[in-house]
Amino acid sequence: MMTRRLYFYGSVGAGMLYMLGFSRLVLANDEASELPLPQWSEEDIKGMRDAPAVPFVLGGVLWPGGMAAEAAALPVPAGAGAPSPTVSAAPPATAPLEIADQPGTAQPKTDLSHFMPPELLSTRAAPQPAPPKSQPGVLRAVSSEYLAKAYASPATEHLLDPDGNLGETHSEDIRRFLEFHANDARIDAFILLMAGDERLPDTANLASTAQGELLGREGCLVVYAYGQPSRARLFLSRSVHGGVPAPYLASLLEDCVSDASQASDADDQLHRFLVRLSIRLFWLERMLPPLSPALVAKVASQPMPGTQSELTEIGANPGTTEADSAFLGIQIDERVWAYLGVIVLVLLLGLGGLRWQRYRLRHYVWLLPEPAGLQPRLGGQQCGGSATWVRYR
Amino acid sequence: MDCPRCSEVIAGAPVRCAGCGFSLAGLDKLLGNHAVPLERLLDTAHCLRLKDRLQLEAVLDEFERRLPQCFCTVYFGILPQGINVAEAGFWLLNHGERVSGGVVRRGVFGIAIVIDPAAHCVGVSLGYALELLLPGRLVESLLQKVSQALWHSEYAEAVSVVLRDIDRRIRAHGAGQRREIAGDAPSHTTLTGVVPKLGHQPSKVSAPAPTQIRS
Repeated sequence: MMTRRLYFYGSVGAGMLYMLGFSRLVLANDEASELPLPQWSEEDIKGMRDAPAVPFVLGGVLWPGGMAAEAAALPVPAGAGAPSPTVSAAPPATAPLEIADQPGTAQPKTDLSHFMPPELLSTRAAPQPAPPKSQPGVLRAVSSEYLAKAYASPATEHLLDPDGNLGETHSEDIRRFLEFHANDARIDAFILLMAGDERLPDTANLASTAQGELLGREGCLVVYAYGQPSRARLFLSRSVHGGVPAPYLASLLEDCVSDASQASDADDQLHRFLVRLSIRLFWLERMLPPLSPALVAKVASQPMPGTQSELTEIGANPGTTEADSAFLGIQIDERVWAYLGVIVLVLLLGLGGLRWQRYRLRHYVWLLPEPAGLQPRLGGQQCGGSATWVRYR
Repeated sequence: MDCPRCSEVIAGAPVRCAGCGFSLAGLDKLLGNHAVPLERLLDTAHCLRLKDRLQLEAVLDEFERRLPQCFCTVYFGILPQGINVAEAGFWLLNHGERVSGGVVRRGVFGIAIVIDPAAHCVGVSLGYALELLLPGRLVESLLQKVSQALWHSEYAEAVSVVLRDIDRRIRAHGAGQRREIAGDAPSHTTLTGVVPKLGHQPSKVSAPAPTQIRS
C-alpha cells in the first residue's frame, strides 16, 4: 500500500517537472522565430519629409484617401454638349486630403460612360412612344407593326414574339423546345405570342405568318395571349385538318388549355401548354395518312393562298370573333351560362313559391263545411268515437 | 269507425258498441256527466316546461287563426284505471266547452290530443266535422312518426309536429276552393275579424273540403 502511494506521487511530480521544462523550451523557440518589423530606409524617410502634403492615393475611386473634390465631379459625355475628356482625370497629386474626408463632400460615383463606345454617347436615344394604355377588361387589337413582324418572321423561327413578352431565358427555353419538337415531329408547332390584353384584329391574315411557310407544310399555329391560356386559338394547315375528325381536334385544344390552367404563373402556363401540345401533335400524327413522296409533292404543290381560310381554326364557332369587350379571364362557355340561367330561374321560382306560401298562410283562413246528415254514434253529440291511439314505448 | 275501447268496427249510428257495449252514457258513470271548460293546454302530469308551453301556445294560436272554426285541446295526464286515451278524448270532446273570445266552439270541429305519460299512450280524437278529413290510418302514421319524440319526453315538439301536419292536411283539402271576399257580402264577424263570403263550392273530393278565404 505504501509502495503504491509513493509510486503515484512520484509519477505526478515527474509529469509536472516535464511540463514546466517543455513550456519554457517552446517560449524560447517562439522568440527566435518572430518576424522583424518593417524598417524604413533613409531614402523613404527623406522623401516623406520633403513632401508632407502628398496623400496616400489608394487608387481608382476608393474613398476616403486621396480623392479630391475636383476628381469627384462626374465627367460629362462628349455628346451632351459640354466638353469632356474621354478619360477621367486622375486625381491631382496635390489635392488636399481633408476636402474629400469632410462629411458634406459629394461622394464620387462610378461613371459607366467610360466603358461605353463613343458613338453611343454621342447619340441620344429617341424617345420611345408610350404603349397604349389598356382599359381593364377590354381587349385591344395588336398593332400593325406587330403583324408586320409576325409576317416577316423567318420560317425557322417557331416562337413568334414580336413584342417581346417573354423574358430572355424563358424565350430561349421555348424556342429550343419548339425546335426540338420540329426535329422529331411531322407537324411543326408555331406559336404567335401576344400580350394578355391584346387580340388579333379581324383583318389579320394568319396565312402570311412566317412568310407564308405554314401553308406549305403540315403545321399548326397557336395564337396565345400571354397569361390567358383559355383564349388560345389553334390553327391547323388544311392537310392536317382534313384528315382528322373535328371533335378530336377540339379535344386537343381543350386538353392543352386544361393542362395550362393548372398553373398560376404565366410562364408555367405557356410551358405546360406547349408540352401538352407537343404530345398531342405526336398522337395526331398517327391519325394522318403515312407520309409518302407523293403526298409531300402534293402538299408542296399547293398554291400559296393569301387568305386566312387556308388555316383552319380549331374549336371556333363560325362567324364569331373575339370581341373588344370580352372580359379577360371570364370567358365562360355558353352551356355554363345556360345552366346558370336555368338554376337561377328555378331558384327564383322556388323563392317565389315559398313567399307565396308564407303569404297564404298569413292572410288566408280556411272554413270547414258543416257536417250534414249527422247521426250521433255511441251517444256522442260532438264526437262519435273517432279516435286513433298508439303506444309509444 | 272503431270503438274507442275495443277497436271494434262500428257501422251506422249505434247507441253502444256491439262488441263491448261501450257508450258515452257508460263513460259518464265513471267520469261524470257535466260540462267541463276546455283549455288549450291541460298539463296535469306536469310534462311541460315553460319553454315547451310557450312553443305549444304559439302553434295552437296559428292553428286556430288559420282554422277559426276548429280548436284543439292537448291534455297531459295520468288517466284513471280502466280508461284509455281514446275514451278520454271521446269524453272530453263531448263534454268540453272551448270558450275563446266570448264564443263557444263546438266539439264537432274539435281535436283532443290526450297523452298519458305513465301508460306511454297518445291518442287523437276528432269531432264529426274532422273525421272525414283525417282518416284513422293517416292519424296513426302521424302518431307513429312522433312516437320516438314522445318516448324521449319531447312532448312539445311531438305535439307541434302533429298539429302542423293536421293543419296542412286540412288545408290541402281546401286547395283550389278559394273564395274571395265580396264587398256586398253579408257582414259576419268571426274570431279573427275576417268577413268571409258564405257558401262553399261543391267538393270535388269524397270528403267535404274546407274553403280558403282571403283575409
